[in-house]
Amino acid sequence: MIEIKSLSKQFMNHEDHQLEVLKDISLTVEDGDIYGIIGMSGAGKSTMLRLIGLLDSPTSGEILVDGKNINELTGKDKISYYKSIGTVFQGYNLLMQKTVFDNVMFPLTLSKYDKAEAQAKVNKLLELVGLADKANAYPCTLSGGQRQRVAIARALANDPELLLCDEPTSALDSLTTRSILELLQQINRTMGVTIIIITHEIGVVKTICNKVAVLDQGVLVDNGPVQEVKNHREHEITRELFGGNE
Amino acid sequence: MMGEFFANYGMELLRETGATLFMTLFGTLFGYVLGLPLGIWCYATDEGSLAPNKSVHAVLGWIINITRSIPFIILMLALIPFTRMVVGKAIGSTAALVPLVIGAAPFVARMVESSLSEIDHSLVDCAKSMGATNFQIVSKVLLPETLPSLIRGMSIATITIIGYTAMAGAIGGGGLGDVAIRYGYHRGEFDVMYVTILILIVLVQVIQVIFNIIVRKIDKNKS
Repeated sequence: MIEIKSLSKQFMNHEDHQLEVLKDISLTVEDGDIYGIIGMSGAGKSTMLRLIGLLDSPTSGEILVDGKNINELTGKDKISYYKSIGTVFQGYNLLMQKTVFDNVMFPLTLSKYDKAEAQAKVNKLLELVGLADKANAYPCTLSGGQRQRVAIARALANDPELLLCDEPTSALDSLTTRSILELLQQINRTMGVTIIIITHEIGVVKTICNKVAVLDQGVLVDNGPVQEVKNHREHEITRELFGGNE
Repeated sequence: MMGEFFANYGMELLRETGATLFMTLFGTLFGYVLGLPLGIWCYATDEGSLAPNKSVHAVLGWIINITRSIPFIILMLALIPFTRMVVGKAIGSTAALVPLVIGAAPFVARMVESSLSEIDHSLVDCAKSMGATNFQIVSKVLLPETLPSLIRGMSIATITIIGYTAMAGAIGGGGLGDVAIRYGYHRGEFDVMYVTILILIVLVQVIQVIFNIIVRKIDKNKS
């Protein structure tokens, strides 16, 4: 369970003005959720994901994962937190000089590992994402959808409890988007991985999320089960995102 | 006529080509021994990089810039006392290596830094989010991913160092530069100078072709 409590983040911009990117955000992600965080660009979505992924620290507030404040983690605990989450980026971030196989293997090589065991695991993951036949291919020969599948397989290598997805389908066409979303859903259902997915496309939320948080200029304006948020549409942005009366 | 020319100068040209290759090879090698870590350090201490440290970054930048702003022929002269301290003499190809390495290292460092900077920062974030340490990010992500670019940089560094070795000839370093200056400038035997130029052109071409082949072979990101 992830409890986000009064989370705020400020940046200094180049003219030394304070920029408040996130303002007093509180929400709870239960185990097994597929939680969508939606908003226009500049709403603070990516910052929020970076904070949960411990790539940045908040100005105030806290993030408790299974009761532990992640910003207080140090040394080994911090590394093991990193290993308990997988991250999927919009730009795939694959190692272009390494084969598909070695890309998925990469997270496992960062700590002591058993080679045969790791190889078996990589093969299983490639099977899962449907790229077993591409193990020895290099990323530059793959399509965007295939690259994202490699990235998803890689994110699962350390058996994470939580998968963070930063606009995973924004660079993909609608058909490929659908297949990637189906894959994420399958991972959530069969492996019990909690997923937080950042997006600006309401279609993503409607397709796979059970809960959604709507961000507008750093403020959490709507939050809860997708159906509830959709029915109430308290905030203008929510109405805009979910479209007219359906 | 050709036969006569080579009978007179052949052995010397061959020997001095060897000296040029010796200085280039070891100058590049030690230039990288010094310049590669320096470049990585400079990259890593930059703002927003792996281990930001404004003062270290500034000092490294200063050292690199100061060394690079001294023309190589003057750097060589200025380093004579230091060279004598290190090798025990200031004349000859081995002695020339000292200023060559000191002249090449900051140049190499900048090339390395610029190669590493080609990597998108989100890839570094990605590695960090998998629990990679800074050392692992450098050794397992940055260096392997930029290898083709680093090798391309090395071809530029090597060819620049060939140019430096020619200057080393002017103060007794030996090599093809020495031959060209002695015969062409001091004795007015221009034919010898032109032959050394020809040899240098061929050397540069061969080196560039070899590097191109290596890059083509190792680069897996050919889009």
